[in-house]
Amino acid sequence: MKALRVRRASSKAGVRGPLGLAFHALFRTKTGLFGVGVVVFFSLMGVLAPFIAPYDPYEQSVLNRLKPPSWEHPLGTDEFGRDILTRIMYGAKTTLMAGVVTVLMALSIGLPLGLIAGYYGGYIDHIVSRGADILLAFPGYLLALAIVAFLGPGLFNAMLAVAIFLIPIYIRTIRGIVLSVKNLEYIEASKVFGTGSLSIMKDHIFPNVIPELIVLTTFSTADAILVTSALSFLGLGAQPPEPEWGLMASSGRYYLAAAPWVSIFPAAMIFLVVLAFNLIGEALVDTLIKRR
Amino acid sequence: MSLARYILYRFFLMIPTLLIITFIVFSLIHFIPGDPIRAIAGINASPEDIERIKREMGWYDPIHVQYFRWLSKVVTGDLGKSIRTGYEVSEIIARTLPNTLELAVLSMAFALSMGIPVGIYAAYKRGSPIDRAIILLSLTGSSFPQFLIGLVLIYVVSVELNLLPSAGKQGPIYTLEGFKSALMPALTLSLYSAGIIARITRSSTAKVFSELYTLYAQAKGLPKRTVIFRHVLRNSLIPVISIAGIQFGFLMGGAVIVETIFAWPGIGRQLVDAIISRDYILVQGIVLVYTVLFMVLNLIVDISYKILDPRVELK
Repeated sequence: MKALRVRRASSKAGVRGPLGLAFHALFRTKTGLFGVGVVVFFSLMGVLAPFIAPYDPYEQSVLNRLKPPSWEHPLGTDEFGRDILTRIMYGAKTTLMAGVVTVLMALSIGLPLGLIAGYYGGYIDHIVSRGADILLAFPGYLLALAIVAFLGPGLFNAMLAVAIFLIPIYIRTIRGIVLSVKNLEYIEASKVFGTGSLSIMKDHIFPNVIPELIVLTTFSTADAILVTSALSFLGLGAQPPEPEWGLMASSGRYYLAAAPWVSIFPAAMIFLVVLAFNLIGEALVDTLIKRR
Repeated sequence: MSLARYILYRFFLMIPTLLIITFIVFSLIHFIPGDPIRAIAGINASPEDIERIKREMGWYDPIHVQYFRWLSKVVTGDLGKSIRTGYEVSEIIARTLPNTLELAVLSMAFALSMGIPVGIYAAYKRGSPIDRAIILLSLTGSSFPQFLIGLVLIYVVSVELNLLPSAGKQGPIYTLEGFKSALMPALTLSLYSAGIIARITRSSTAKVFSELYTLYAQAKGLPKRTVIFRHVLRNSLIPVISIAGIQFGFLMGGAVIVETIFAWPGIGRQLVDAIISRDYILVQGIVLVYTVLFMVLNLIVDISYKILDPRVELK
């Protein structure tokens, strides 16, 4: 059984499993490499911020308000005289964490529900799928907005809301893949041998889900970052004085005419990170899904 | 199943979903941390005031009783009164929703007119460097946070070049002034969808290009133009319609940010204001209207799908 499984997951690339394939794909395409580079760069920036940032992210200085980029402040200062480069460095961690944690929350609910709904079918599937349909009946990220409205503003609530917004997408995708593989012969055979449902799902079905799951998590990390930062921009996510990019872009917009750097630099960072995840996703789609 | 029966069937199918969704929207108010009525009444309310409001609202009745009482008002168009301003919620929505719809329609027009030609061209040149560049471009388009596009546009077009107004709505979009004020918000809103539409158009068109009937049409010696317009596009644009329907919903949702940046007097900005000022009744009403609109839109998309493509099986 094991040999069959491995062959299926990596039919074109010899002995490589989906993770190996993904790894390979990223370093073969320029865009994938760029994406990985950007994500690594910002991760290091976020982790090392306390050691490499030139200033304190919260330190205000009335004399240095809205200073344009200079040698002293490479990206200028904001409306409280805080160094923007420093705040962007600290914000990298917040943004990446928001993306990753949100997706992990969605994954931890969506993956088991999708597997169970697809594998068992019948009533269970009906209930889970209807639930997903209902969540999908809210347009765009209106659902996230509504949840934040009632939980109250805050970065964690925003992440939770975005996770709930992502769950139905996970359920649908995973359920679809399970449906397409669960009647394959080797799974039937495994059932005949008396393998338990849980083992079948874990050993035979889950490996088929992995390639698409990797792609989905990458793209949804991009979406999660976009939406959480949008919520922060609206004042519903991270709260001042936290150095969060969406929030920084939002508070800087009142000085747009005189000091465009205050809002445009942080917003541009969000764009870079989101683009990076999308490029990684695109590189992975090519290898993991289309050429499978 | 005939088309008429299908429409009827889908319509009835909407009812249970609507009931559940309205129930969720209604009961969200009970999930407010702490005492929701305290939040509604404000910090200055005395315990007696809160008690009185609770009694007036029937807060102690079982939740399903409260729900059906609320629902029976909602179906008559009574969404309650805004806590902060005292205006009827339905009036506020009637005032702001058309502005958002105007914006969404204009954005959709932009997104389609950018996304479809680009997608078709990429499919026509599939595998070429141009195709790869277009894929990259559409990916970039859907990676922009809307506020970045909005802020850059305001800075360049309004502040530096002084060409277009940076905020507000100067009239209906069919007037010149109104159109000018809607141009930047609509463009900002459309970029994400344009990227998605371009990619869907590309993949569905590329698929049709490799169909045998396309090859046959080419082999017959038909001019390229005829092959593309008569044989390819008629088939390849059908999935685009369904994506466009979903994207219209996203545009309505995305309007929240764009309206906030450009001070557009739409329902999205109203929603953000309502959330920030904790005007729960107004939030409830807006979320409800948004959702019902989206469901009706989805139904229309599904039906038009069937009309446009007779091969689609009705289930």
